[in-house]
Amino acid sequence: MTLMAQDPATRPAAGDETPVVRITGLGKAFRRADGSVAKAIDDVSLDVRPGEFLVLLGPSGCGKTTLLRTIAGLERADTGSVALRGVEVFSAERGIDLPPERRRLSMIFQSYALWPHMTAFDNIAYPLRNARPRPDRATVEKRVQAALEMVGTPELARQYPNQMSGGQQQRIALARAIVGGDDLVLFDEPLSNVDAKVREQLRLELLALQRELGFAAVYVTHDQTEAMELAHRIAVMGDGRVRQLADPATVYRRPVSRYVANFVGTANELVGTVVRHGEGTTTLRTGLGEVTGVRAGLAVGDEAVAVFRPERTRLGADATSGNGNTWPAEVAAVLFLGAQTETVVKAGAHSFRLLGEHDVAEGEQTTVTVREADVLILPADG
Amino acid sequence: MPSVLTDLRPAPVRRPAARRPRGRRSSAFGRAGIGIAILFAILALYPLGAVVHRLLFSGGGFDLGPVQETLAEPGLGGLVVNTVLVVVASTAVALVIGTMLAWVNERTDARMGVLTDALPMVPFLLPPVAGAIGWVLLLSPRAGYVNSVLRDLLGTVGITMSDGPFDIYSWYGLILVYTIYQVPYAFMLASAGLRNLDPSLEEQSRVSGAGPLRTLRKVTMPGVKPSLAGAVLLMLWSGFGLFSIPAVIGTGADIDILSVRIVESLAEYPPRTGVAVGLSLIVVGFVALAWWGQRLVVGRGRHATVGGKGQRVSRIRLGRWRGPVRALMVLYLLVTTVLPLVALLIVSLTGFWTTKINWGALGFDALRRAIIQDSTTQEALLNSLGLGLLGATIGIGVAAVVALYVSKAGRLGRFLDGAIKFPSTLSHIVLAVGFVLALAGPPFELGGTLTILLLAYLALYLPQAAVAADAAVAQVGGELPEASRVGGAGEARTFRRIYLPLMLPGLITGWALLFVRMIGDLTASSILAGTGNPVVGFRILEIYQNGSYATLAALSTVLTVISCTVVLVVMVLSRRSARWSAPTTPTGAR
Ligand SMILES: Nc1ncnc2c1ncn2[C@@H]1O[C@H](COP(=O)(O)OP(=O)(O)O)[C@@H](O)[C@H]1O
Ligand SMILES: [Mg+2]
Repeated sequence: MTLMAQDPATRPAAGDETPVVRITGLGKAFRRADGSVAKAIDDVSLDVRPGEFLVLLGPSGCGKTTLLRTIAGLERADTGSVALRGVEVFSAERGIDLPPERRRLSMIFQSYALWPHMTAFDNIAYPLRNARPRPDRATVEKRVQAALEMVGTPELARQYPNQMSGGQQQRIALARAIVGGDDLVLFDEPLSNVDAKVREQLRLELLALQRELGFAAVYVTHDQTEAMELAHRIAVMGDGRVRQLADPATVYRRPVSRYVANFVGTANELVGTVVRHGEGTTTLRTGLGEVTGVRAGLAVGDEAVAVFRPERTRLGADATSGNGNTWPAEVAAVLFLGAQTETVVKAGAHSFRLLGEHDVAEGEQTTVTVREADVLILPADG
Repeated sequence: MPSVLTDLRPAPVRRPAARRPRGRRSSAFGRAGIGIAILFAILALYPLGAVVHRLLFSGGGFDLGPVQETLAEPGLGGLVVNTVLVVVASTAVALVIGTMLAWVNERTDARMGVLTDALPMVPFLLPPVAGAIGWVLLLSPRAGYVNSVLRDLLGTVGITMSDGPFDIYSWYGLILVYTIYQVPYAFMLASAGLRNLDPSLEEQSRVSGAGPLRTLRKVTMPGVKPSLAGAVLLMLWSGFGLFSIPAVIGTGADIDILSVRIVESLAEYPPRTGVAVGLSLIVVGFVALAWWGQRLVVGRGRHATVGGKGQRVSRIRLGRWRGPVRALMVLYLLVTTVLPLVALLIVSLTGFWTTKINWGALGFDALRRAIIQDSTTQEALLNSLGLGLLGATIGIGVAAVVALYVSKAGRLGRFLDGAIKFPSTLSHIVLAVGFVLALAGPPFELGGTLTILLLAYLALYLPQAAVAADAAVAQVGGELPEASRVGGAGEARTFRRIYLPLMLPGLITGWALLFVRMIGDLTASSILAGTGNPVVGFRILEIYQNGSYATLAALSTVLTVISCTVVLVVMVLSRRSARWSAPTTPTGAR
């Protein structure tokens, strides 16, 4: 296989193409040292489409790495199955477990895992030299050089890994992952070991590279900004389960649970009880009186929480419509963040965060408003 | 009791993200590894079974006779007290010296490259019997070279003595030579501990306002405590097992030591096997005690986290102390390694031992007479070399396979790993006795063959190979082989292209250690070799009993030269094969 080119504009279609990865009912538990059992992944099912960039997002310890490693064949799940390109490579039920080298995928490890005894060139050439039939020298040379150029470090070919900076090692690991032209690349927090500037740069390059080469990517991270920027779809994980799987905008604007809302961005919250449903709306009784938001599938009397984003929360002066939820408040802090200003206000016992330019000073009395359409009503638990 | 040697490694190198590869059930490598491990576990355990059987069932049925015999052994109390005194004292002194040498070498700018890296290890190359003889040649009260030089010096200031001032046949003489043989263990493990200790821990301490000495006391020493505990254990174990030093020096000083009594009771006619076995069990008891103490030290709290890649140590600048510190180190190395070697060399080249060195009489005639023209010695030398080459190669290969594929494979794997390392808890003499009982007679009839020696060497020295191999495996983080698998390489290819090259430096060093131990082995050889299958150790004992110092010196010299050459070649090889590990930028301080 050569490096595949694909029209950068095409996004993977949700059609009935065979998914590159299909995970069904996957589960794996670890026995801890003290004998207790930890469910690292718990009944996970998901598809990755050809050319799709799927991000596994979740806090540390939620099972992202374990899930990635079961896809690669480095870890053996207890239940469920994994199919790559329509072919089952793992099935607990049928006792199938293809070793990693026969799964035709690449992986970038958190530590880069560059072999210290090989030069950058040999590191990158390794997957090519494992191919059957083995490509001839000239081909290997050409493709390694092409990969090196693609990641922007052609001058590093003869260097050993410990003669490179972290960012350079990262690039070599990337080159090694793409050189074989595999249509699936797995990433395990590849950018967590480089500094912020380099990280941003590498992120952009990675994005361009993925869109250009068109491989499907499964990318593990705990950084929601990274996830938003890179992903076609995000799988938000918690406690070994996929809590929501959707495109970044949906995950952000329409989180299905309080957990997701809080993990993806900042959320203002008001806890209460459902008192009635209106036309497309649901109203809660909360500590600040009644709050109305977008209609939710909850019954009257259920515990619920009203969630709204800082950038959708406004101060009295610029409240646009009359049918908002409005509370008197006092400005508690004004935090200058550069491009934006964050304002923290206190309304009764609650405090809310607001983003945007607000011409107020600490201690000022004001009102806070949020439109009904910007308030999500979510179940109080989970 | 679980194995001693498994716990000797300094805190294993563990990279944060590295995980153990979970064994795929159907791995051909894994199965082959288990098979090999089972064979070697049997090799280790079967002779021990024979010993225990002999101890408890001597006359057909259950019989505690040997136990009673042992307890009735004359002078048993003094024997035990002497042994403990010598071993503990030398261990304590060696720990201090070895740790200081290691710290200076790893953490200050007084290091002098290969010289200070390698010279503290040289006593390992000098077979203990050669060292003991060398020190007798130097410090014997009348004819010792050092004493004679000192007397001449004192004579110039008007003090005349007929002998002394030093006497090797004394408590301090015995402890001195023991100590010299213990220091390499402390140096080796303390160095490894320091090298694995994340330097940023120490840098953090310096940044927090602690000086170098306070950092050493508060951060470095606690960080390497597990390594030091391992060193103490290793020293106690080897100390209780040392035979040739107390045989040569202790006997002359009238200090009874357990290991000598064990061999003596076997050498008598008829051999008192029961007593030998009983005394050996006392040794086992002490080692178990030391092992338990080490668990206490290491088990408390977490230790020595190990940093990731390419650590650069910022060395402490000693300033005007650098010169004196270096001079002291060189002096120590000269006195402990060069002096006894020179004494051996002079005697072997002169052909006899006199106080006044006649430089004109030096020549190779005596050496030729002792080695080449003596057919038994020549045969012994060739046998030892052959056994060393074969044994070291098999040993390190098996150890690598076990470390890689067996010790991680569940409960059976851990049991086999422990069984193979078990002989390390016993005095070598016990195991040799076991081989006689188990394999010399029917149905195997291996008595007096080279095969029984090879098997015994393997069982005896495999634990040391295993320590080397475990360390080498630990060097290869979990993600490196995994990246290879994902990159399309199968198990065999991953072994060849990733594990082997990364482990090679460690394995080569382990091989050299095995080779040297096997050709210099005295304890097993004293029991298992004979005129039909002579080896160097056996020949040395034979000559020692006939009392020819010159021949003894000649044989020791040849043995030492061979060992040193092999190790030197191997060190060059291993450095070359690890050329990638050093950054080319000359500022890298490692
Ligand atoms: N080898 C292991 N042994 C025991 N528990 C493990 C092992 N690997 C992972 N776990 C546990 O599984 C859970 C998920 O781990 P992981 O997949 O590494 O999380 P993440 O990558 O999201 O941080 C954690 O609770 C972790 O403690
Ligand atoms: Mg992880």
